[in-house]
Amino acid sequence: MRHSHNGVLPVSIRRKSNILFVLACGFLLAGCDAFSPPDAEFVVREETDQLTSDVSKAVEEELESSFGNPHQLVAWLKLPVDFGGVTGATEESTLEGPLNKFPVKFDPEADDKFVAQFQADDGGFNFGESGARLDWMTGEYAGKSMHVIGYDSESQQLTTKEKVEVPPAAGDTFVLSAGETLKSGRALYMEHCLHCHGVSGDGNGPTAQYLNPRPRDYRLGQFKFKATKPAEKVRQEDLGRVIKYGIPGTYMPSFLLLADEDLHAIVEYVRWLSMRGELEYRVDQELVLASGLTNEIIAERKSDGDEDAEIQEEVDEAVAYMPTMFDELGDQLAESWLLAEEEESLIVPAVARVEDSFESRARGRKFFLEKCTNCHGHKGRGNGSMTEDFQKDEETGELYAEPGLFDIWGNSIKPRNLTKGLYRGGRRPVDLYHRLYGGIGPSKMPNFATTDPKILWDTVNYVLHIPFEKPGEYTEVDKEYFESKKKSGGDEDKAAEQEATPTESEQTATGSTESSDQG
Amino acid sequence: MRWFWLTFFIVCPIAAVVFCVIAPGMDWWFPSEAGSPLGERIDSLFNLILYIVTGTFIGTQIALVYVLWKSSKKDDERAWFSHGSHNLEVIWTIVPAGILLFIALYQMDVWAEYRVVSKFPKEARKAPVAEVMARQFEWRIRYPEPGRILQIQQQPTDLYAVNELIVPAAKPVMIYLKTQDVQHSFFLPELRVKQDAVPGQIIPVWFEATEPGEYVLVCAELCGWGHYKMGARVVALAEEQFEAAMEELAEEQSDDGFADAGDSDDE
Repeated sequence: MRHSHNGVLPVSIRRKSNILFVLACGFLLAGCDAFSPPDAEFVVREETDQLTSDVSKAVEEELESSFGNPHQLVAWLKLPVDFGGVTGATEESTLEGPLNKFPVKFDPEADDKFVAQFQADDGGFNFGESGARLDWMTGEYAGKSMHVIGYDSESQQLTTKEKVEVPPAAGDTFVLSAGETLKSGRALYMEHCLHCHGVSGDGNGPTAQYLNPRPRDYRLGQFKFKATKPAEKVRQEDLGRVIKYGIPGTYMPSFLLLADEDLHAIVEYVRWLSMRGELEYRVDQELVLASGLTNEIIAERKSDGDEDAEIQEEVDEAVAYMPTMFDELGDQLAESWLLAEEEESLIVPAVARVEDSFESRARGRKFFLEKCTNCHGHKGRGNGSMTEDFQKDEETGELYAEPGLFDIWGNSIKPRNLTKGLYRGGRRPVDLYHRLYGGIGPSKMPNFATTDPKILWDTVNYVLHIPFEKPGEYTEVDKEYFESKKKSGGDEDKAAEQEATPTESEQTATGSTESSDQG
Repeated sequence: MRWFWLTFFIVCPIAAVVFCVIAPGMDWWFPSEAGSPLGERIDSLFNLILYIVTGTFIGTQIALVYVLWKSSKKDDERAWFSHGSHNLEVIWTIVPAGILLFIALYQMDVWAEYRVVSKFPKEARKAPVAEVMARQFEWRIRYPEPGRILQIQQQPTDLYAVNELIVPAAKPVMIYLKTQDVQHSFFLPELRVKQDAVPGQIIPVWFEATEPGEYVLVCAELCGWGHYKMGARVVALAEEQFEAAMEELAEEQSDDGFADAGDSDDE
């Protein structure tokens, strides 16, 4: 038996292995499909989901028509984002239709962009195989698009794929390759950022769950490291710096090797995602808090005896009002993002940095003792008493389940340990000045915009020196501070603070004379 | 079939010879020509080994083809079984051992110069240019202030950069390699430098970029999901430009934002 079996075995094994081979190939091919990334889509906020179905559908539709989806982006021109493209207008011409050539003039600032975008290696212009898209903004063809296949720089004539009977009138404006920057931003974002920050910029990409601190969720329109005044938005330059130099102490790496235009494209895409997210957030706030159109509230009202027709009327009203609401909130958003780029939004120190001396640092130490120790701790180790207390959630008004501090995204955070010499928002003195003057809103670090800029510089000097502090260096300073606090009213903090202010200005006066002596 | 294998085993060594001869000239094995003097010596060692291996390969192939050729002629003769030949075994042990010993001794000075700190060029050893701290997933760099010597401990005057290591060209430079988290590897393919960064250790590494220019710096040790992101660059500058770059970095790092405003007001 056994013997005869052995004789047969090799054949069946071979057959089997053939089947196995075929199966293995099949699995491999199927595997490619099974592991291919899921369709990218913008996720919907939880709050939008909680809205009653008609309203949430209207919100989603309006979002789609204003921003599109990851496959088909929409450039909502209301938003102050550089969507890309080259603008220009047609020139007077005697040519008559049907024709596909017409003279144009590019806007002065767009001229360079035109050359940079389309100049081919041989000096001619390269518009790709299907031609560069040209969208008419005004005139006869407004809203229509054509495809540019050639440009003659001598006669300044564009050649389009399409022939038209009536040539566009002189002065009709157009955009060539509109949305190019946003599209390239999308591709770069998908390559470099998506796996942490997510398709929608919700900070929930596939690798996000392994990270602490969590990647930033852009959808509140709030960023920590910015050089603008406390209430203002982040500037393009601030985001650019973060991407370029990374954030030491977090998982955000440096993308220094990116070309400038790529960096710009990513910044614009991130701003655009942020605007999209914030708009949805604000719309939800309005619909939930002001109109109360969530499933939960409506169910409650129904059980309280409110009539269906009445509720339906409110829902219909909200749905009909949706486009207007998007328009109005969009305007507000656009204004705030534009304002951030204005010069007056930038924090510029009113005085130059105070010379870094022991006296200056001692004044900084006093300010630190007064304002910063609750969170950053007596020695700057980031272990102040607030990190042990239960804090109140400002949105719900209830205490958090865990002791310690929380940022506006609801993540547990730790005040910076200043003895490590790691400065997330940059280590230049001006970076630290920006942190102090502007605060770090999202992490609830207060701003000191009204404090004497000299004292802020003293504090910057002190903070920069904490990692190099010798034991007992500030014992005398601390003693003096606590004694003056005791004298001025004992354990009542308020009294101590009131008294501390004049002491501080005295210190400043003596300090500045000393430093001028040195200089 | 017999003739197929015969031809196959003849073509292989011939192809090997052809590839071996043209490969170094075509820059096939290396990412461009070595950009450093030590790199050139490493390349010539590599080429030497390439020639030895090719020679060995050809020899064994000839022997193989000879055996195939000889036995293919005798259809009726049975193969004989050998219990081994003491003499042959001695020969094929001593000859490779001799070759390996030769390689080991011949490359020793290059190895020592590359890895043994006391053999490093003196001027590099005296003044390390920077500390390179690898971390998931970037290279953080700390320079001493111009005119000072780099200390192991952070100094208040130190200058910091990320993903761009600036060094003077045409002279040996030394860095201290560290890692903040897991194991990484400091790899300069064009300069033929590769050194693991090991947690808890400060590893001195020296190299010399013959020509000013940009060189690729990558991580050569799988260090986590973002390993591929650890691309950076080494910029070698002529001495004067290097000093200017350091001054510029120092100035940028002490930026207090105030002078800027003053300048723009004046304009």
